[in-house]
Amino acid sequence: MIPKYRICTHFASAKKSGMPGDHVGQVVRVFSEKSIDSATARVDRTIVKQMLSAGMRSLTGGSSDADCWARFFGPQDIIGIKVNCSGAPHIMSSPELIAGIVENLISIGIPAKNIWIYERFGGQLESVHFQRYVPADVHIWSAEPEWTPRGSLGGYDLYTYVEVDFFGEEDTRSFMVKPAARTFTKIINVPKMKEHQAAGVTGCLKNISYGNFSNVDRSHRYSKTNTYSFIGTLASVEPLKAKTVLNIMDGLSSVWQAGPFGEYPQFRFYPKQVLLGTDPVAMDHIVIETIEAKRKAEGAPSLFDRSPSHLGRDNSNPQFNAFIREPGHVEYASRLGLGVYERDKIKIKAIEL
Amino acid sequence: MLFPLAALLPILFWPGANTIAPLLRQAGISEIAVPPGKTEAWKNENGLKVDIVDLDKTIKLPAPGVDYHTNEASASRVPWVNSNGWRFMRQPNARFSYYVKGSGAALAAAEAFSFDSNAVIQTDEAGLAPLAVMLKFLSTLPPLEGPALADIGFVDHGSGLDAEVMNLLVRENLLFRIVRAPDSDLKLTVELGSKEYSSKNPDVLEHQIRANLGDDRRLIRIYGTSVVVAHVMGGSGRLRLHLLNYGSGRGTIVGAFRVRVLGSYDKAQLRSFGPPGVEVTEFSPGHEATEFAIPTLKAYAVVDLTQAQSASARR
Repeated sequence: MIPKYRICTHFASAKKSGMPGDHVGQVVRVFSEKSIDSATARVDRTIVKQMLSAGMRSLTGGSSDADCWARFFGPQDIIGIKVNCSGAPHIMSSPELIAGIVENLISIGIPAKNIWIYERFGGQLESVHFQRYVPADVHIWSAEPEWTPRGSLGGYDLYTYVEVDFFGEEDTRSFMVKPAARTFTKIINVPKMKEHQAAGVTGCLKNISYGNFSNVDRSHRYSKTNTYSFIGTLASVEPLKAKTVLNIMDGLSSVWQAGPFGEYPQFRFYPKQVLLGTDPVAMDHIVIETIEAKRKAEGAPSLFDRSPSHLGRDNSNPQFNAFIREPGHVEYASRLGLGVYERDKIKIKAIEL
Repeated sequence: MLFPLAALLPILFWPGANTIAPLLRQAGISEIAVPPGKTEAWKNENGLKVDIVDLDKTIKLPAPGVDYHTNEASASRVPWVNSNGWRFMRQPNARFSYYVKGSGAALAAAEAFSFDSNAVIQTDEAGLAPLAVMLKFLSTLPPLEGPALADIGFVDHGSGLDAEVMNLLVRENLLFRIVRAPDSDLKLTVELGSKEYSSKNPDVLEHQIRANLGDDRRLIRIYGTSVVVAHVMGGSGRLRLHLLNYGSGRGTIVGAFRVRVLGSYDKAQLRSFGPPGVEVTEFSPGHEATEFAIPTLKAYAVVDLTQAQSASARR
């Protein structure tokens, strides 16, 4: 049963929505064997920038990098880059990839001060040290910095929220990150390709939704979670839906069990790819396939498995998981107009460097 | 007619020697309570008013605060709030006593004051200064006329189940007052053991009460924190919110949180224990409800909400 959601936003639906954007059902997958060293997890910044270039040209049909990026952004834009640092320091949006994105934005005339790298939790964000990879004027911002009490709403827009009562919790509101609502004109979503204990996978939709709202972990308090409908619902809230114009997924490294965290080295693997697109649903469908294939190869239960016999707190054993995973959240999001889920309608452009 | 009444200020209870007197004066404490038979030792201490309190004739309270029960059920960041609010409501005319060490004494004082209860607070030397600062702050609050406000009437038969349900209601900011029979001024009457509330599980009962009341009809909602308990007083266009941070005993300062109060108010004045200059933000007077944010909360604050004359006249 879908919980009763009440969306409060003062932002009207945009005529031209960022999600699913101009490239509905399209996913560009750029693979490079040399992009990351499987032994050391060291990322090759030069190769990653080449992957970005090839991917953006393939996605947009642009003849130059500048042409590609200028199709999405102009010098007046204030751009939020939503990174994913929940698995840091092992599994996160690679700073080398973020550096490549920032370089491209600056090259088309966007001032560094108009670029924000952001995440909800300051401790996770700071552990990645993005400032070592981008110009000093780029903002590195978190909704809940380490120096404020965890849970403070100071970084959230108190007029833009989703209200829902999942299990009788007293705090029933999830507020949108303030600059996402008020400051940014565009958002680039840079998720990490991962398995997720509750959601099944975490890709574009999970990163843009749970990464932009407060008080979301309440959705997976019990083994049967509400991630199935909450993820898409949050992602569809304006102005988030309108502003998120580009998704660039870091699939250089990944986890296939016990995600979104990366504390178990045995569950890390290296797809060595970057996915690009404007359709988060289509992209996340590819994430499901990638993680599912890896789990199958490892002899782990399917992401879609719902057997109670596989429920267990000790997820260091891939036969067990604390939650019933909900990869169906991706298909559900398609019903909210966020993209295309049917596999036969998804077109993958595969590039190998 | 109701007259403004100053709420009761808690008093420091000190069973030890009067050698502490200079420290009390230094902390700004001018009134203390001592056990029977100890008054003689204090009679020459100028500037200190000394009362006699027999702790055996008081109801002893646990220290207010929070516990994190991370080993129970599923992992949750929502802590277990230990509030004495329901105890004060069950016995409004009783005298209470706390024994709270350190900075927790300040929270205990604020708690007793908020619920307008007669309480003495025993603490250690580390607790003297925080307690004194809180007592001074409480003494500066202007009195406000009007009773404690509630959404729910609770018929208390004095059972343990009644106690636990009232405890949960306080923790979840489901405002109630104890009644003998249904009160038409209240939105809901709860009597455990009735057909409607036959469960023996306090958690189930609390959820049932909340569902029957309806969140939209609640006088107060708090978003963004699970350690703040509100107690609301007032009437005729004025409302006072007492906001208690139960995490403060562990040194937790609550960051920004949102408050929704039923009714339309035009102005909110925050008086906060701690650094001066903190004001409510993002004040949103609505037709049905008024919302605002508290940027930060140490142990305690009050918010006085007022309706402008024109707004009152509209009603």
